[in-house]
Amino acid sequence: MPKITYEQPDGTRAELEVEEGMSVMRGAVDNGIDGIVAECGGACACATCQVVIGAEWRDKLPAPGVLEEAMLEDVEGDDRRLSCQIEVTAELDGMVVKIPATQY
Amino acid sequence: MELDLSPKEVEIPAHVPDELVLPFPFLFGVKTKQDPFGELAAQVHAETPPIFYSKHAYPGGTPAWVVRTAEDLKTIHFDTENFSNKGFSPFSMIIGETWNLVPAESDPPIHAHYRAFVSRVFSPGAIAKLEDKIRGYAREYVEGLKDKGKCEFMRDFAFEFPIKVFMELMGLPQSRTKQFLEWEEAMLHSHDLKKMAVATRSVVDYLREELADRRENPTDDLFTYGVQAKIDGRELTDDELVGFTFNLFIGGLDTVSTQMGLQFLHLARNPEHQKMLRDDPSLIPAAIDELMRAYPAVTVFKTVTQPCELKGVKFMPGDKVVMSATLAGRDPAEYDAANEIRFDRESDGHLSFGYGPHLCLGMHLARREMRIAMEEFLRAVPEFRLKDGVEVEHYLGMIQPTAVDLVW
Repeated sequence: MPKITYEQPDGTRAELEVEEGMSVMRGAVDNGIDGIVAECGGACACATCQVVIGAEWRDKLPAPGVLEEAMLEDVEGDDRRLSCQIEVTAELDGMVVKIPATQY
Repeated sequence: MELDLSPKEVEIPAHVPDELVLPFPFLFGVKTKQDPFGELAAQVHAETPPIFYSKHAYPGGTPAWVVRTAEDLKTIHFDTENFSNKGFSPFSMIIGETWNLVPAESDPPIHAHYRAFVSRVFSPGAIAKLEDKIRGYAREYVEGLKDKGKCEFMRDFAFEFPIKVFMELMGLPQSRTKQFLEWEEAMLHSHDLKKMAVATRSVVDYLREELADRRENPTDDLFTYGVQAKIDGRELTDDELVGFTFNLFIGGLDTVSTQMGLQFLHLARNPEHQKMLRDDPSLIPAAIDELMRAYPAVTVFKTVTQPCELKGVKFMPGDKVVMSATLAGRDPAEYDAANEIRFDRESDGHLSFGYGPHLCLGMHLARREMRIAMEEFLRAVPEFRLKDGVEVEHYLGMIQPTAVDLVW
Protein backbone atom coordinates (compact mmCIF):
# COMPACT_ATOMS: atom_id res chain seq x y z
CA MET A 1 0.00 0.00 0.00
CA PRO A 2 1.23 3.54 -0.71
CA LYS A 3 2.62 5.37 2.31
CA ILE A 4 1.44 8.89 3.08
CA THR A 5 3.13 11.02 5.75
CA TYR A 6 0.95 13.46 7.69
CA GLU A 7 2.90 16.29 9.28
CA GLN A 8 1.42 18.30 12.15
CA PRO A 9 2.10 22.06 12.52
CA ASP A 10 4.62 21.25 15.30
CA GLY A 11 6.56 19.01 12.94
CA THR A 12 5.39 15.66 14.36
CA ARG A 13 5.00 13.12 11.60
CA ALA A 14 2.90 10.01 11.16
CA GLU A 15 3.56 7.71 8.23
CA LEU A 16 0.53 5.64 7.29
CA GLU A 17 -0.26 3.02 4.72
CA VAL A 18 -3.35 4.17 2.85
CA GLU A 19 -5.20 1.91 0.49
CA GLU A 20 -5.18 2.92 -3.17
CA GLY A 21 -8.46 4.54 -4.15
CA MET A 22 -9.03 5.98 -0.70
CA SER A 23 -8.75 9.72 -0.18
CA VAL A 24 -5.90 11.33 1.74
CA MET A 25 -8.63 12.72 4.05
CA ARG A 26 -10.07 9.26 4.74
CA GLY A 27 -6.59 7.93 5.51
CA ALA A 28 -6.20 10.61 8.17
CA VAL A 29 -9.68 10.46 9.67
CA ASP A 30 -9.81 6.65 9.87
CA ASN A 31 -6.46 6.59 11.62
CA GLY A 32 -7.20 9.32 14.15
CA ILE A 33 -4.82 11.92 12.72
CA ASP A 34 -5.55 15.27 14.41
CA GLY A 35 -6.28 18.43 12.49
CA ILE A 36 -8.29 17.04 9.56
CA VAL A 37 -11.91 17.77 10.43
CA ALA A 38 -13.72 16.80 7.21
CA GLU A 39 -17.04 18.04 8.48
CA CYS A 40 -18.99 17.15 5.34
CA GLY A 41 -17.60 13.64 5.22
CA GLY A 42 -15.73 14.05 1.94
CA ALA A 43 -18.05 15.87 -0.46
CA CYS A 44 -15.87 18.90 -1.15
CA ALA A 45 -18.43 20.97 0.72
CA CYS A 46 -16.78 22.26 3.90
CA ALA A 47 -13.09 23.03 3.25
CA THR A 48 -12.13 21.56 6.65
CA CYS A 49 -9.75 18.87 5.35
CA GLN A 50 -7.14 21.29 4.00
CA VAL A 51 -3.56 20.16 3.61
CA VAL A 52 -0.44 21.86 2.34
CA ILE A 53 1.30 20.02 -0.48
CA GLY A 54 4.99 20.59 -1.12
CA ALA A 55 6.13 21.70 -4.59
CA GLU A 56 7.67 18.31 -5.37
CA TRP A 57 4.27 16.58 -5.09
CA ARG A 58 1.90 19.23 -6.37
CA ASP A 59 2.40 18.42 -10.03
CA LYS A 60 1.74 14.74 -9.46
CA LEU A 61 -1.81 15.52 -8.31
CA PRO A 62 -4.74 15.97 -10.67
CA ALA A 63 -5.75 19.63 -10.95
CA PRO A 64 -8.48 20.76 -8.52
CA GLY A 65 -12.04 20.68 -9.83
CA VAL A 66 -14.27 23.72 -10.10
CA LEU A 67 -15.74 23.14 -6.64
CA GLU A 68 -12.43 22.57 -4.85
CA GLU A 69 -10.99 25.67 -6.47
CA ALA A 70 -13.95 27.71 -5.24
CA MET A 71 -13.64 26.36 -1.70
CA LEU A 72 -9.98 27.33 -1.55
CA GLU A 73 -10.37 30.81 -2.91
CA ASP A 74 -9.29 33.43 -0.37
CA VAL A 75 -7.27 30.82 1.54
CA GLU A 76 -3.69 31.94 2.03
CA GLY A 77 -1.06 30.42 -0.24
CA ASP A 78 -1.60 28.42 -3.42
CA ASP A 79 -0.23 25.18 -2.02
CA ARG A 80 -3.42 24.17 -0.22
CA ARG A 81 -5.58 21.29 -1.39
CA LEU A 82 -8.62 19.58 0.02
CA SER A 83 -7.48 16.14 1.09
CA CYS A 84 -10.90 14.58 0.40
CA GLN A 85 -10.30 15.31 -3.28
CA ILE A 86 -6.90 13.59 -3.45
CA GLU A 87 -7.20 9.93 -4.29
CA VAL A 88 -4.27 7.84 -3.14
CA THR A 89 -2.45 6.10 -6.00
CA ALA A 90 0.79 4.14 -6.26
CA GLU A 91 2.36 7.26 -7.73
CA LEU A 92 1.77 9.15 -4.48
CA ASP A 93 3.74 6.63 -2.39
CA GLY A 94 5.97 8.65 -0.06
CA MET A 95 4.00 11.91 -0.29
CA VAL A 96 4.16 14.26 2.68
CA VAL A 97 1.12 16.41 3.45
CA LYS A 98 1.26 19.18 6.03
CA ILE A 99 -1.75 19.84 8.21
CA PRO A 100 -2.50 23.53 8.79
CA ALA A 101 -2.80 24.92 12.33
CA THR A 102 -6.51 25.47 11.86
CA GLN A 103 -9.18 24.46 9.36
CA TYR A 104 -11.39 27.48 10.07
CA MET B 1 -56.77 30.69 4.73
CA GLU B 2 -55.23 28.73 7.59
CA LEU B 3 -52.57 26.34 6.36
CA ASP B 4 -54.02 22.94 6.97
CA LEU B 5 -51.46 21.16 9.10
CA SER B 6 -53.98 18.79 10.60
CA PRO B 7 -53.31 15.08 10.32
CA LYS B 8 -54.84 13.68 7.13
CA GLU B 9 -56.37 10.28 6.59
CA VAL B 10 -53.54 8.63 4.76
CA GLU B 11 -53.21 5.39 2.91
CA ILE B 12 -50.12 3.42 3.67
CA PRO B 13 -48.38 2.33 0.44
CA ALA B 14 -48.02 -1.41 -0.18
CA HIS B 15 -44.20 -1.42 0.21
CA VAL B 16 -44.43 -0.10 3.80
CA PRO B 17 -44.77 -2.90 6.36
CA ASP B 18 -47.46 -2.30 9.02
CA GLU B 19 -45.04 -2.75 11.89
CA LEU B 20 -42.94 0.19 10.66
CA VAL B 21 -45.86 2.65 10.79
CA LEU B 22 -45.22 4.49 14.02
CA PRO B 23 -45.89 7.84 15.68
CA PHE B 24 -43.42 10.73 15.35
CA PRO B 25 -43.56 13.75 17.66
CA PHE B 26 -41.90 16.47 15.53
CA LEU B 27 -44.91 17.64 13.54
CA PHE B 28 -44.83 20.98 11.74
CA GLY B 29 -47.07 23.66 13.20
CA VAL B 30 -47.23 22.04 16.64
CA LYS B 31 -46.11 23.72 19.87
CA THR B 32 -44.98 21.79 22.92
CA LYS B 33 -44.08 22.39 26.57
CA GLN B 34 -42.07 19.18 26.63
CA ASP B 35 -38.30 19.30 26.07
CA PRO B 36 -37.92 18.52 22.34
CA PHE B 37 -34.37 17.27 22.82
CA GLY B 38 -33.94 15.52 26.17
CA GLU B 39 -37.50 14.17 26.14
CA LEU B 40 -38.95 13.88 22.65
CA ALA B 41 -35.82 12.98 20.67
CA ALA B 42 -34.67 10.62 23.39
CA GLN B 43 -38.07 8.94 23.30
CA VAL B 44 -37.89 8.41 19.53
CA HIS B 45 -34.47 6.79 19.95
CA ALA B 46 -35.66 4.57 22.77
CA GLU B 47 -38.90 3.42 21.20
CA THR B 48 -38.56 3.18 17.42
CA PRO B 49 -36.53 1.15 14.90
CA PRO B 50 -33.76 2.95 12.95
CA ILE B 51 -36.01 3.65 9.98
CA PHE B 52 -39.78 3.95 10.30
CA TYR B 53 -42.77 5.42 8.52
CA SER B 54 -45.01 8.01 10.05
CA LYS B 55 -48.40 9.14 8.78
CA HIS B 56 -48.04 12.87 9.37
CA ALA B 57 -44.29 13.50 9.49
CA TYR B 58 -44.11 15.66 6.33
CA PRO B 59 -45.09 19.35 6.56
CA GLY B 60 -48.78 19.57 5.73
CA GLY B 61 -49.58 16.41 7.65
CA THR B 62 -48.72 13.82 5.02
CA PRO B 63 -46.62 10.64 5.45
CA ALA B 64 -42.87 10.25 5.29
CA TRP B 65 -40.04 7.98 6.30
CA VAL B 66 -38.14 9.00 9.39
CA VAL B 67 -34.47 8.02 9.57
CA ARG B 68 -33.34 8.42 13.16
CA THR B 69 -29.68 7.30 13.35
CA ALA B 70 -26.68 9.47 12.50
CA GLU B 71 -25.17 6.56 10.57
CA ASP B 72 -28.15 6.15 8.21
CA LEU B 73 -28.65 9.89 7.87
CA LYS B 74 -25.04 10.20 6.71
CA THR B 75 -25.58 7.46 4.13
CA ILE B 76 -28.65 9.20 2.69
CA HIS B 77 -27.03 12.65 2.74
CA PHE B 78 -24.35 11.20 0.45
CA ASP B 79 -26.69 9.20 -1.79
CA THR B 80 -27.73 11.85 -4.29
CA GLU B 81 -28.56 9.16 -6.83
CA ASN B 82 -31.52 7.78 -4.89
CA PHE B 83 -32.48 10.76 -2.75
CA SER B 84 -33.20 14.15 -4.34
CA ASN B 85 -33.22 17.60 -2.78
CA LYS B 86 -35.54 19.06 -5.42
CA GLY B 87 -38.61 20.94 -4.25
CA PHE B 88 -38.33 20.40 -0.51
CA SER B 89 -39.46 23.91 0.37
CA PRO B 90 -42.96 25.24 -0.43
CA PHE B 91 -42.21 28.89 -1.21
CA SER B 92 -41.84 28.87 -4.98
CA MET B 93 -44.95 26.69 -5.34
CA ILE B 94 -47.25 28.76 -3.13
CA ILE B 95 -46.74 31.84 -5.30
CA GLY B 96 -47.13 29.86 -8.52
CA GLU B 97 -43.48 30.04 -9.60
CA THR B 98 -41.03 27.37 -10.73
CA TRP B 99 -37.61 28.24 -9.32
CA ASN B 100 -35.69 25.97 -6.97
CA LEU B 101 -33.44 27.13 -4.17
CA VAL B 102 -29.87 27.48 -5.49
CA PRO B 103 -28.01 25.40 -4.47
CA ALA B 104 -30.13 23.74 -1.73
CA GLU B 105 -32.79 22.26 -4.01
CA SER B 106 -30.50 21.09 -6.81
CA ASP B 107 -29.03 17.69 -7.60
CA PRO B 108 -25.90 16.61 -9.48
CA PRO B 109 -24.54 17.39 -11.98
CA ILE B 110 -25.64 21.06 -11.91
CA HIS B 111 -25.28 21.13 -8.13
CA ALA B 112 -21.46 21.25 -8.21
CA HIS B 113 -21.56 24.28 -10.50
CA TYR B 114 -24.08 26.07 -8.29
CA ARG B 115 -22.16 25.14 -5.21
CA ALA B 116 -18.86 26.40 -6.64
CA PHE B 117 -20.53 29.67 -7.58
CA VAL B 118 -21.96 30.23 -4.08
CA SER B 119 -19.04 28.72 -2.12
CA ARG B 120 -16.68 31.33 -3.44
CA VAL B 121 -18.44 34.02 -1.41
CA PHE B 122 -18.98 31.89 1.70
CA SER B 123 -15.54 30.29 1.98
CA PRO B 124 -13.74 30.58 5.34
CA GLY B 125 -11.43 33.24 3.90
CA ALA B 126 -14.26 35.35 2.47
CA ILE B 127 -16.26 35.17 5.70
CA ALA B 128 -13.30 36.02 7.95
CA LYS B 129 -13.28 39.48 6.37
CA LEU B 130 -16.69 40.17 7.91
CA GLU B 131 -15.50 39.75 11.51
CA ASP B 132 -15.50 43.45 12.45
CA LYS B 133 -18.83 44.24 10.81
CA ILE B 134 -20.51 41.31 12.55
CA ARG B 135 -19.04 42.30 15.89
CA GLY B 136 -20.24 45.86 15.38
CA TYR B 137 -23.83 44.67 14.87
CA ALA B 138 -23.68 42.32 17.87
CA ARG B 139 -22.41 45.16 20.05
CA GLU B 140 -25.25 47.45 19.01
CA TYR B 141 -27.78 44.98 20.38
CA VAL B 142 -25.85 44.03 23.50
CA GLU B 143 -25.13 47.66 24.42
CA GLY B 144 -28.80 48.47 23.97
CA LEU B 145 -30.02 45.80 26.37
CA LYS B 146 -27.28 45.25 28.95
CA ASP B 147 -28.55 47.89 31.42
CA LYS B 148 -32.18 46.80 31.24
CA GLY B 149 -31.82 43.78 33.52
CA LYS B 150 -33.93 41.65 31.22
CA CYS B 151 -34.66 40.84 27.60
CA GLU B 152 -36.70 38.58 25.42
CA PHE B 153 -33.67 37.22 23.68
CA MET B 154 -35.38 36.20 20.43
CA ARG B 155 -37.16 39.52 19.90
CA ASP B 156 -34.44 41.78 21.30
CA PHE B 157 -31.39 40.19 19.67
CA ALA B 158 -31.57 36.83 17.93
CA PHE B 159 -34.11 37.55 15.19
CA GLU B 160 -32.67 40.85 13.97
CA PHE B 161 -28.94 40.28 14.31
CA PRO B 162 -28.53 37.82 11.39
CA ILE B 163 -30.78 40.02 9.24
CA LYS B 164 -28.33 42.90 9.75
CA VAL B 165 -25.48 40.74 8.49
CA PHE B 166 -27.61 39.58 5.56
CA MET B 167 -28.42 43.21 4.64
CA GLU B 168 -24.70 43.97 4.74
CA LEU B 169 -23.86 41.09 2.39
CA MET B 170 -26.69 41.93 0.03
CA GLY B 171 -25.98 45.65 -0.07
CA LEU B 172 -29.44 46.45 1.29
CA PRO B 173 -30.21 49.38 3.60
CA GLN B 174 -30.23 48.51 7.31
CA SER B 175 -33.40 50.57 7.56
CA ARG B 176 -35.24 47.67 5.90
CA THR B 177 -34.38 45.25 8.73
CA LYS B 178 -37.84 45.45 10.35
CA GLN B 179 -39.50 44.88 7.00
CA PHE B 180 -37.45 41.74 6.43
CA LEU B 181 -38.27 40.54 9.92
CA GLU B 182 -42.00 40.95 9.21
CA TRP B 183 -41.73 38.98 5.99
CA GLU B 184 -39.71 36.29 7.70
CA GLU B 185 -42.29 35.95 10.47
CA ALA B 186 -45.21 35.70 8.09
CA MET B 187 -43.41 33.14 5.92
CA LEU B 188 -42.06 30.91 8.64
CA HIS B 189 -44.18 31.37 11.74
CA SER B 190 -47.70 32.35 10.75
CA HIS B 191 -48.74 28.89 9.50
CA ASP B 192 -51.31 30.83 7.51
CA LEU B 193 -51.02 29.97 3.84
CA LYS B 194 -52.37 33.30 2.62
CA LYS B 195 -49.99 35.31 4.81
CA MET B 196 -47.11 33.04 3.77
CA ALA B 197 -47.89 33.58 0.11
CA VAL B 198 -48.27 37.36 0.44
CA ALA B 199 -44.94 37.64 2.28
CA THR B 200 -43.15 35.29 -0.12
CA ARG B 201 -44.46 37.34 -3.05
CA SER B 202 -43.19 40.54 -1.42
CA VAL B 203 -39.72 39.03 -0.83
CA VAL B 204 -39.43 37.65 -4.36
CA ASP B 205 -40.60 40.92 -5.94
CA TYR B 206 -38.09 42.81 -3.80
CA LEU B 207 -35.26 40.45 -4.74
CA ARG B 208 -36.14 40.81 -8.45
CA GLU B 209 -36.12 44.62 -8.18
CA GLU B 210 -32.71 44.57 -6.54
CA LEU B 211 -31.34 42.13 -9.13
CA ALA B 212 -32.58 44.41 -11.92
CA ASP B 213 -31.03 47.40 -10.18
CA ARG B 214 -27.60 45.75 -9.88
CA ARG B 215 -27.57 44.95 -13.58
CA GLU B 216 -27.68 48.72 -14.11
CA ASN B 217 -25.68 49.76 -11.06
CA PRO B 218 -23.17 47.08 -10.11
CA THR B 219 -21.54 47.29 -6.65
CA ASP B 220 -19.67 44.72 -4.56
CA ASP B 221 -22.66 42.95 -3.01
CA LEU B 222 -24.12 39.48 -3.60
CA PHE B 223 -26.85 40.66 -5.99
CA THR B 224 -24.10 42.05 -8.20
CA TYR B 225 -22.09 38.87 -7.76
CA GLY B 226 -25.12 36.87 -8.94
CA VAL B 227 -25.94 38.94 -12.03
CA GLN B 228 -22.29 38.98 -13.13
CA ALA B 229 -21.55 35.31 -12.42
CA LYS B 230 -21.08 32.64 -15.06
CA ILE B 231 -21.69 29.00 -14.37
CA ASP B 232 -20.44 26.51 -16.90
CA GLY B 233 -19.76 29.42 -19.24
CA ARG B 234 -23.23 31.00 -19.18
CA GLU B 235 -25.04 33.63 -17.14
CA LEU B 236 -27.60 32.61 -14.54
CA THR B 237 -31.26 32.65 -15.55
CA ASP B 238 -33.86 34.76 -13.75
CA ASP B 239 -35.15 31.64 -11.95
CA GLU B 240 -31.64 30.74 -10.81
CA LEU B 241 -30.94 34.24 -9.53
CA VAL B 242 -34.19 34.32 -7.56
CA GLY B 243 -33.43 30.82 -6.25
CA PHE B 244 -29.94 31.89 -5.20
CA THR B 245 -30.94 35.08 -3.39
CA PHE B 246 -34.01 33.46 -1.86
CA ASN B 247 -31.82 30.59 -0.63
CA LEU B 248 -29.60 33.11 1.18
CA PHE B 249 -32.69 34.69 2.75
CA ILE B 250 -34.28 31.42 3.85
CA GLY B 251 -31.05 29.69 4.87
CA GLY B 252 -29.27 32.31 6.87
CA LEU B 253 -31.75 34.22 8.97
CA ASP B 254 -34.26 32.22 10.98
CA THR B 255 -31.91 29.24 11.35
CA VAL B 256 -29.17 31.30 12.99
CA SER B 257 -31.71 33.09 15.22
CA THR B 258 -33.10 29.76 16.35
CA GLN B 259 -29.74 28.21 17.18
CA MET B 260 -28.77 31.33 19.11
CA GLY B 261 -32.02 31.11 21.09
CA LEU B 262 -31.42 27.45 21.93
CA GLN B 263 -27.84 28.18 22.99
CA PHE B 264 -28.84 31.00 25.31
CA LEU B 265 -31.71 28.98 26.73
CA HIS B 266 -29.14 26.35 27.69
CA LEU B 267 -26.81 28.93 29.23
CA ALA B 268 -29.69 30.49 31.21
CA ARG B 269 -30.50 27.09 32.66
CA ASN B 270 -26.87 26.17 33.33
CA PRO B 271 -25.06 29.00 35.16
CA GLU B 272 -21.98 26.79 35.61
CA HIS B 273 -21.61 26.67 31.83
CA GLN B 274 -21.97 30.46 31.64
CA LYS B 275 -19.23 30.75 34.22
CA MET B 276 -16.90 28.44 32.31
CA LEU B 277 -17.26 30.56 29.17
CA ARG B 278 -16.96 33.87 30.99
CA ASP B 279 -13.81 32.64 32.75
CA ASP B 280 -12.30 31.40 29.49
CA PRO B 281 -13.91 32.81 26.33
CA SER B 282 -11.53 30.72 24.22
CA LEU B 283 -13.84 27.80 25.02
CA ILE B 284 -16.71 29.45 23.16
CA PRO B 285 -16.10 27.89 19.71
CA ALA B 286 -16.01 24.36 21.16
CA ALA B 287 -19.03 25.16 23.33
CA ILE B 288 -20.99 26.36 20.31
CA ASP B 289 -20.25 23.15 18.43
CA GLU B 290 -21.33 21.03 21.40
CA LEU B 291 -24.51 23.11 21.70
CA MET B 292 -25.06 22.71 17.96
CA ARG B 293 -24.65 18.95 18.44
CA ALA B 294 -27.07 18.82 21.35
CA TYR B 295 -29.69 21.35 20.17
CA PRO B 296 -29.99 21.06 16.39
CA ALA B 297 -33.08 22.85 15.14
CA VAL B 298 -33.24 21.98 11.47
CA THR B 299 -34.95 19.21 9.57
CA VAL B 300 -34.58 18.86 5.81
CA PHE B 301 -36.46 16.57 3.46
CA LYS B 302 -35.51 14.34 0.57
CA THR B 303 -37.58 12.71 -2.12
CA VAL B 304 -36.80 9.19 -3.29
CA THR B 305 -36.10 9.05 -7.04
CA GLN B 306 -35.80 5.32 -7.72
CA PRO B 307 -36.53 2.07 -5.90
CA CYS B 308 -33.79 1.45 -3.33
CA GLU B 309 -33.16 -0.17 -0.01
CA LEU B 310 -31.39 0.75 3.22
CA LYS B 311 -31.01 -1.63 6.16
CA GLY B 312 -33.67 -3.88 4.70
CA VAL B 313 -36.23 -1.07 4.35
CA LYS B 314 -37.60 -0.53 0.84
CA PHE B 315 -38.04 2.99 -0.52
CA MET B 316 -40.08 3.76 -3.64
CA PRO B 317 -39.95 6.79 -5.98
CA GLY B 318 -41.89 9.73 -4.56
CA ASP B 319 -41.46 8.65 -0.93
CA LYS B 320 -40.56 11.56 1.32
CA VAL B 321 -37.77 11.23 3.88
CA VAL B 322 -37.45 13.29 7.05
CA MET B 323 -33.80 14.11 7.78
CA SER B 324 -33.86 15.43 11.33
CA ALA B 325 -30.61 16.84 12.66
CA THR B 326 -32.36 16.92 16.04
CA LEU B 327 -32.51 13.13 16.08
CA ALA B 328 -28.93 12.79 14.81
CA GLY B 329 -27.59 14.98 17.61
CA ARG B 330 -29.19 12.86 20.32
CA ASP B 331 -28.45 9.45 18.78
CA PRO B 332 -27.15 7.24 21.60
CA ALA B 333 -25.36 5.01 19.08
CA GLU B 334 -23.35 8.00 17.85
CA TYR B 335 -22.70 9.87 21.10
CA ASP B 336 -21.71 8.67 24.51
CA ALA B 337 -24.27 10.06 26.99
CA ALA B 338 -26.02 11.89 24.15
CA ASN B 339 -28.22 13.91 26.48
CA GLU B 340 -25.34 15.37 28.45
CA ILE B 341 -23.79 18.65 27.34
CA ARG B 342 -20.01 18.55 27.67
CA PHE B 343 -17.98 21.38 26.20
CA ASP B 344 -14.89 19.18 26.24
CA ARG B 345 -16.55 16.30 24.41
CA GLU B 346 -14.08 14.43 22.23
CA SER B 347 -16.50 14.54 19.40
CA ASP B 348 -16.73 13.07 15.96
CA GLY B 349 -18.57 16.18 14.87
CA HIS B 350 -22.30 16.52 14.27
CA LEU B 351 -24.91 16.63 11.54
CA SER B 352 -26.43 19.90 12.65
CA PHE B 353 -25.22 21.71 9.52
CA GLY B 354 -26.18 18.67 7.46
CA TYR B 355 -23.64 16.35 5.86
CA GLY B 356 -22.31 15.48 2.43
CA PRO B 357 -22.58 17.64 -0.69
CA HIS B 358 -25.38 19.84 0.69
CA LEU B 359 -23.63 20.63 3.97
CA CYS B 360 -24.71 24.10 5.04
CA LEU B 361 -22.87 26.49 2.79
CA GLY B 362 -23.25 29.30 5.28
CA MET B 363 -21.78 27.39 8.19
CA HIS B 364 -18.60 29.46 8.36
CA LEU B 365 -20.72 32.61 8.54
CA ALA B 366 -23.19 31.04 10.99
CA ARG B 367 -20.43 29.91 13.34
CA ARG B 368 -18.87 33.33 13.27
CA GLU B 369 -22.20 35.04 13.99
CA MET B 370 -22.99 32.68 16.87
CA ARG B 371 -19.50 32.96 18.35
CA ILE B 372 -19.42 36.74 18.22
CA ALA B 373 -22.96 36.99 19.65
CA MET B 374 -21.96 34.81 22.59
CA GLU B 375 -18.64 36.60 23.15
CA GLU B 376 -20.27 40.00 23.18
CA PHE B 377 -23.28 39.04 25.29
CA LEU B 378 -21.20 37.26 27.96
CA ARG B 379 -18.74 40.13 28.04
CA ALA B 380 -21.38 42.79 28.68
CA VAL B 381 -24.18 41.06 30.57
CA PRO B 382 -23.72 39.53 34.05
CA GLU B 383 -24.99 36.06 34.98
CA PHE B 384 -28.47 35.66 33.54
CA ARG B 385 -31.25 33.15 34.10
CA LEU B 386 -34.74 32.42 32.87
CA LYS B 387 -37.43 34.72 34.25
CA ASP B 388 -39.18 33.11 37.22
CA GLY B 389 -42.37 31.27 36.47
CA VAL B 390 -41.83 31.16 32.71
CA GLU B 391 -42.70 27.87 31.11
CA VAL B 392 -40.59 27.43 27.98
CA GLU B 393 -42.42 26.36 24.84
CA HIS B 394 -40.98 25.27 21.51
CA TYR B 395 -42.38 25.19 18.02
CA LEU B 396 -41.72 21.85 16.41
CA GLY B 397 -40.88 21.47 12.75
CA MET B 398 -37.87 23.66 12.99
CA ILE B 399 -37.37 23.52 16.73
CA GLN B 400 -37.52 27.08 17.98
CA PRO B 401 -38.27 28.43 21.45
CA THR B 402 -41.38 30.64 21.28
CA ALA B 403 -39.65 33.10 23.63
CA VAL B 404 -36.48 33.18 25.73
CA ASP B 405 -37.14 35.52 28.67
CA LEU B 406 -33.84 36.30 30.38
CA VAL B 407 -33.26 38.30 33.57
CA TRP B 408 -30.02 39.40 35.23
